[in-house]
This record gives sequence, structure tokens and C-alpha cells, in this order.
Amino acid sequence: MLEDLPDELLVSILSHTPAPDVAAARAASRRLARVGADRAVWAAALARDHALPLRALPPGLAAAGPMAAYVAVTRWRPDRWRGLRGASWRSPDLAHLRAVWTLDVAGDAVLTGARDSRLRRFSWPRECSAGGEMALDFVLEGHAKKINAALWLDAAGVAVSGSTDASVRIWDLAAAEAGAQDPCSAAIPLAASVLTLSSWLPHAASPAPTRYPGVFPHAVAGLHDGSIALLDIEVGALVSDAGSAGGSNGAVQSTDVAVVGSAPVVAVGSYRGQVTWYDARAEAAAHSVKVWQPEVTKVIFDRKPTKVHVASRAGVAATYDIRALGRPLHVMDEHGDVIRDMVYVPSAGRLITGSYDGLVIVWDAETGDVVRLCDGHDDWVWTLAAGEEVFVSGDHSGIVNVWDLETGAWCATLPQGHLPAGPVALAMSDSVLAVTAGCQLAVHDVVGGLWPELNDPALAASVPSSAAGASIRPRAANPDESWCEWLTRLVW
Amino acid sequence: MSGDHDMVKLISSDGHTIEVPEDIVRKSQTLQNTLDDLAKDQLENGIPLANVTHAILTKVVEWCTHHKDDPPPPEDDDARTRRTDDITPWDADFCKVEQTVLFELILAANYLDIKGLLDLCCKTVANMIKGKSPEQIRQTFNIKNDFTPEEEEQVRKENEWCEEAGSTGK
Repeated sequence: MLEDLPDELLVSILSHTPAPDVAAARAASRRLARVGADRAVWAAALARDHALPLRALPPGLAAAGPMAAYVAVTRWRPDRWRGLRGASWRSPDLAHLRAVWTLDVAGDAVLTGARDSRLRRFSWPRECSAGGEMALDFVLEGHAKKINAALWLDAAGVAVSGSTDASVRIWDLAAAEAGAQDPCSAAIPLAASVLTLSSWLPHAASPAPTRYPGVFPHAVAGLHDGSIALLDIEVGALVSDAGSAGGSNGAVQSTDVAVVGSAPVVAVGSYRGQVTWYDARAEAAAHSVKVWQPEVTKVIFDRKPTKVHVASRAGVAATYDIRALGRPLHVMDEHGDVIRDMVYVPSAGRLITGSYDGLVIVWDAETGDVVRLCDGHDDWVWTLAAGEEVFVSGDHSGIVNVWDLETGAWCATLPQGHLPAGPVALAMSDSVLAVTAGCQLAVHDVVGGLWPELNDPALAASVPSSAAGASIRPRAANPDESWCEWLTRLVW
Repeated sequence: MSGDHDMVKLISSDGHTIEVPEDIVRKSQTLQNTLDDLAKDQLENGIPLANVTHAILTKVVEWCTHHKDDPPPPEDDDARTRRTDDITPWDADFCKVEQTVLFELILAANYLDIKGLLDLCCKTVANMIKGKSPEQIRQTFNIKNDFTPEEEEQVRKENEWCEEAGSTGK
């Protein structure tokens, strides 16, 4: 009889049995319940159904054991990712306009900057809970040329936009909402076309303090001539323009700017493959290092402000310690082509790169080890965005994939046909994912948590108590204040 | 070198001796090790198989003979290959036997270490489990429900995800 077989052979049989049938078998008798919970059975199911080897499981799930992990992963499949609130919404208003160039999100509203030199804000009507149309709240007019960068600084109630017309404008969103004639609180002319913007102010909605204590209330713009401009958002004025007119470092075209938590430190990547550090309050470059031959595409500070992650057109990414300039801590060299975009997720300790080779790679930001190769694009991976539990990648043909942040496992591909083919821009907050391609904007509501089942009492009962309470995410590190001070003292 | 015609004597647990070509015998990892370990004269009297009856041994030899030209199974046990829908018609026919025979085949394949046959039999049993309710599984395999009500409730809770997965389609 079946039950005469030794445990190891029952395990072999159940390893070949589809997971729902293993579950049924476990409900048949005590012995089958015990044998059917064996690691090997569920490791096989995870590999067969989800292509997830045990070693790829996030620590919290690994501790819960393969059976609990299988259940959690199974529940977290595309139909669990409620990418849409009712339905995805597509803007009809933009259809006649030129392409949307940049976008930012806060809460569940979206700010777009388009080629027609206007910014627009869309939001879900408050009373409409499901499947509603997004409303165009207002249009911000003032720039003379296309908008290359837009920041929505919710804490300060302002938006900052940078344009090819060589100016940065600061917009008072409360005034815009109230229907003010000219909500632009400051227009700051600069030396060259503005390519990129970054700010010390938090994006996420939070009670707006009047003086932003502990936060350096500035934004920094990277310009086409290789210089940067430091802007005081409260005052609406240019504070300094470091390295202007080509700069002492010979940088051409600031391709990306990054800032550190609360310290006034700026890192700029340039078209010539150089990364330069500035004290945002000083005029001159603090330090500069040539990192790669071709263009630096992305510069991101680690949550540990000594470290900066750099991606390049050479297809290589690297992490530098800015105390040991020029020698990378580790080099992430797996891509076969240009790295077009990179995002850093401090809470998960992950770096994600997207490349023209069609791959998205999830890296351990600490070690530079590959966590997962995400293979789901047939075209250049163009842009990335990360949320709390998932990250998204959009390619040059307009395909957008959703991936699990912890494991890099594929979760979903956004519904096809709702956007024209073409490179996409993405932005993501805790509650919405905004996607644009060409002249159109689609907004998806991102609801539902990842692995929520570990908090589910029914499952928790079957999971060892130590694992059930385990936190899946590493705790966010406290900003290292003393370090910031030290850094400023040392370098400047 | 041993040619195709080298025969090896295998003695079943119930005392029958059958002669099997050496290349067939070598499908069994266990017997392969035995053949390599023992000198030729030690094999004269045959290899006793304490755990395999004549009827089962005949079946095993039948399977090994049919599969003698198969490539050796891959070393690494890639779980992704553990599918149950890739059974050839011949194998499916081979496994159309009584349950007791099937389980004895599993034991024999395990004892003789014939991975292909063990996998086939496990898949066959897995297919017998497929699509059945716990009660149907008990009936099929003559299993007694020995759960306490608390234990039964516990397993039912652990299985709630199946109903959810079933109701949302695939």
C-alpha cells in the first residue's frame, strides 16, 4: 500500500505531484500531512511552478520554510497584483499633444512635463473609489521650451521643473489648485539647458513643515554645459552655480545629479564618463573622478552617504566610496550593453539596472552580487521605477513588466494595447504607477502587499513562530548624521 | 572488454534465477557498482537480490531492456523537470499494473537505483493522486483517516490557499 512506502519515497512521489494535489493528499492522513510538508516537496513545487530556487527566497520567507513560501508566492501572482483600480486610466487630454517627457507622482496623483513646455497634474477624484477617470487638475504654463525634468516636492507643496529654455521654475501647487493666474513662484534663468533635477526634500506626502528642519531645502539642477546649479526652493533663487562654463573638470553635459540625505553633498555624472562631488555650498568642485569612458547615465547615493552607485553607457555599474575616490568598492559587470537606467531601493538594499541588452538585473547593493537576472524584455530596457514591494521596467517598445523587489521574480506584464509602442517613462509612488509612452499617460493603482500572508493568522499558525513575526525588509538605516558632518569637514 | 553477449545471473528473493545481458544490468546503479566491485568468478553463482521478487524483477528487466538506449539521466536533480505529463505511451502502458505491483516497482527501482524507472513510477502515482479530494485519495490508496478534529482543521486552514487559487482560475 502507499503508506507502506518509506518516507523518502513518499517524498519522491509528492515531489512529482502538483501542489494543490499535495495539499489534498496532506488532508488524507497524519502521515501524509507530515510527509507532504517536507522541504523537498515544496522546493520542487517552487522550482516547477515559480522557477524560484530556494536560495532566491527572501530571508523572511526562507525562514518560514518552503511550504509557507510556496503558498505566499502562489498567492502573489499576477491576479494578486491588483495593478488597476477598476480599470487602468488613460489620459484623453494628452492625445493631441507632444510627447510626455518626464513625470513624477505623489500620493495617487501624477505630474507630467511634456514637450509642449507645459506641466499638468492629474489626480483621482476624491469621491471616486473605483475605476474612476482621473481629472486634469491644472496646467502649469510658463516655460518656453520642452520640459526635461520635473520634481514634485510634496512636503513643500511645490513642483520644480527644468527645461531646455535654460531655466528652472518653481510652482506653488496650492495656488495652482486654487486657480491662481500665475502659480509660478519663481523663474530662475540658468546658463544652459536643464537636463536633470534632484532635491533634498522628500517626495512622499508628509506634514509640511515651514522650514523643513533637518533637511537642506534646496534642489540641484544638472545643466547641458556640465555645470550644476543649486537652487533655494523656499526663496526661489539661485544659490550657486558650481563648475559653470564647462567647469574646471571639463565635464560636458551633466547627465544625472544625486544628493545625500541631509548633507549638502552633490554627485554629478557627466557625458564624458566623469563623476564629480561638490559641496553644494561651495563654488568649486570638491573632487572629481573619471569612472568610465562613455557617458555616466545614473548617479545614486547609497543610504550610507559615503557610497555612490554609478551606471554608465559602457554597460558597467560600480559602487564607489567617496573617501577612496577612483577605486570602486565593487564593479557590477554583467550587462552586455548600455545601462540606460538604475534605481536604488534603500529599504530592500537592492540596486536595479536596466540595459539595452534587454535584461534587468537586481543586485545586492551591499556586495554588488547578482540577486536575479530578470529576463522579460525583447527590446532595450529604457526606464525603471521602484515602489514598496515591486519594481517596474519599461522597454523601448512600450512593454512594462512588474517584478518582485525582494526576489526579482516576475509578477505581471501591464495590459497591452493601452499605450502606443515606444519608449516609456515611469514613475511610482506607494499607491500609483504612472506610465507614459508618446502622448499618452496611463495610471495604475498599486494596491495589495507583497507576501501579506505571513501576517495572515491562518498561515501564521502553520509557520514557526520565529518566522511568522520575521520582518521581511531590512530596517531602514538611520541617516548617519555624524558621518555627514565628518564628510563635510573632510572634503571641504 | 565485455561484449553484448555477456550475461549476468540475477537471483530474485523467491529463488528464481534469470540471465540478463550485462548492458541491461548496468542500467541499475546498484548492480553496476556490484559488477565493478566483484571479480568475474565471484559473479558465476549470480547476484542475489534480497528485496526483489521474480515477478517484479521481470518487470524491471522489461523496462530496462526497452530503455537500454536511453541517454543516462542528468546528474543534477533539476526539479523543473518533475513534470507528470511527459510519460511516453509505452511507459504509461508499462505502468498499467495493480497498485501493489506499482509500489513494489518503486521499492525495487529505489533499491536497484534506477532513476528513470523510479521517476516514472513516482509520476504514475502522482497522476493517481492528481485531481482527487482527500476522501478520494483515502479510497484510492486505502488510507485510514487518523486525524484528530483539531489536526484536520489545522490542515484545512493550511490548504485554504488552494481554494483561493482555484477560484481565480489558473
